[in-house]
Amino acid sequence: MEENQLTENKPVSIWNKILTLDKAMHEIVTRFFVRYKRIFFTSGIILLVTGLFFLFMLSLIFIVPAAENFSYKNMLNERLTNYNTDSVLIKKQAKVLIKDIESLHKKLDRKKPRSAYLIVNTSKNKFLLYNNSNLIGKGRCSTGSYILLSNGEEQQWIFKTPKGVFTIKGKTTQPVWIKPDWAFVEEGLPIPPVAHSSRYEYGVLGDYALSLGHGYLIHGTLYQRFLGLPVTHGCIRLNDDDLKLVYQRLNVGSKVFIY
Amino acid sequence: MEEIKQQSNVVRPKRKGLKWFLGTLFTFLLLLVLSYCYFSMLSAKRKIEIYNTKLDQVLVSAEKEQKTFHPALFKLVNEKAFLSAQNSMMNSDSLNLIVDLMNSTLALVIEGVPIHFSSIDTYEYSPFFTSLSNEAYVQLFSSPFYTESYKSTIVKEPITIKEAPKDTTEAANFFELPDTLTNELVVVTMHLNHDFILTFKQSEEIQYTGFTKDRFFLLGMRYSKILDDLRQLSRLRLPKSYPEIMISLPKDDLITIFRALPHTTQVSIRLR
Repeated sequence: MEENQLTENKPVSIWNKILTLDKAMHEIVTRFFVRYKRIFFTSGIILLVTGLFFLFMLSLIFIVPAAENFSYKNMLNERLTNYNTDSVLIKKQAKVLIKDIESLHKKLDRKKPRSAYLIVNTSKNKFLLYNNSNLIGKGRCSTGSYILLSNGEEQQWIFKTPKGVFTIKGKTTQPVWIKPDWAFVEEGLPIPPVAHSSRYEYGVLGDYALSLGHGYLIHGTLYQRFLGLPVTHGCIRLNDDDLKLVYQRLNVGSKVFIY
Repeated sequence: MEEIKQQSNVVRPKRKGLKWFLGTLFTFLLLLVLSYCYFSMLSAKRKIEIYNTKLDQVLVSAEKEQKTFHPALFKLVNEKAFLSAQNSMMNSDSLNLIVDLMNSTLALVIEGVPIHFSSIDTYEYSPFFTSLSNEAYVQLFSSPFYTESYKSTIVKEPITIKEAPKDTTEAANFFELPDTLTNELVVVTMHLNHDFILTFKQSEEIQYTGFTKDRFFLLGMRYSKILDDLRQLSRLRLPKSYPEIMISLPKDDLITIFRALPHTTQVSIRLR
């Protein structure tokens, strides 16, 4: 009896507990897998096929360019070998070629403007002023903001500086800004009649303005802190000193390259 | 025990079928990769052969003598070809591009006047171009290429739509941040005539915070080419070969050049 009591009261070791728990867990997991084996099997196959396909696509990306390169490098380069090897003739040909090259260089040089010209970079909002290929001025400017102002479906304006080659069409001092319709729409104001006094603004365009045609101007600005940023309605804004230099150097007919 | 045996007998054929399926799939994919590789190589070879033998086919013997030259004259002939291509672009009043890999420079030109220069950091091009004979190379590069289409990770014109404000208070509250593109990777690919690809990418590296569409731009381009090739193969045609020139340059310059160029432009190139 005593022995039996002793065995019954013997504490269960931690290992036994773990083993029991393990067995239970094993049973649960086995049941789970047995119950859902079809799902596991199908998803396994799907994963495998997807993996294979992924490997296939990867191999196409890396193997094919490598194979193409290998093919190129191993190709017999069939050159035309029936050229003349007479050294006198080669020298003659070289002389003719040098002459041709010189004349082509001259042709290209002739295209460069002989007078002053302006280059405007609308991405960086910078300008360069040249006189006969010599750089005489550079600095910041402001160009079109690329804002599309929409006033319902009927009226739309896009504020971008046009790109290409332009010529100076006219020069003025103390220009007056005749505000177009979009200037009122943009400010949330009613559009006044054509010759209304509210359309005339004095002193906002700086001391000088050079016209590029179609309403686009090179002019000054009151907002000099915005120079270097794309904030205009399509015109090119410069600071006072740069504007003066550009005004003095460029004449009517001078070229302006905008890109 | 018998039940178990029966069960195992039932399951076995299924597994065998699966093995067969996977084996067939693997073999099929392998064959597809191999045939794709073979036909791609064949297509590239054909393209080189076409350009290299063009002189033989097109020119009569007197003209051929003029067009062929001693390798010692290649430098001069190449220079002449490059200048001829530039001269052809001279009369165009839209912006064009000059790519000079020998001097590692890019230039934007308009009416023959260079208005913007950029230095190329690194470049590489398909072995196709080195496999061309000197004569074929000069013939090909003595006239400008034309862009047929382009793809890019950034927009050409960063247009922002602004609705007209109802009153002055609403107008005063409008503030638009300028388009800086600081965190965007800039990659531009131009499809030129002769099925050449001219790719520009920024030389500055970008720290990625996650998956972005920019990151997979070039990968996507390559996949679309593969799909196009597979489509050609399924129609029993050779896939097209697209020799590529890849140039990396400073991001600012790349944005400037990409946004300056019109949709269709001319490009004169000097590779060697």
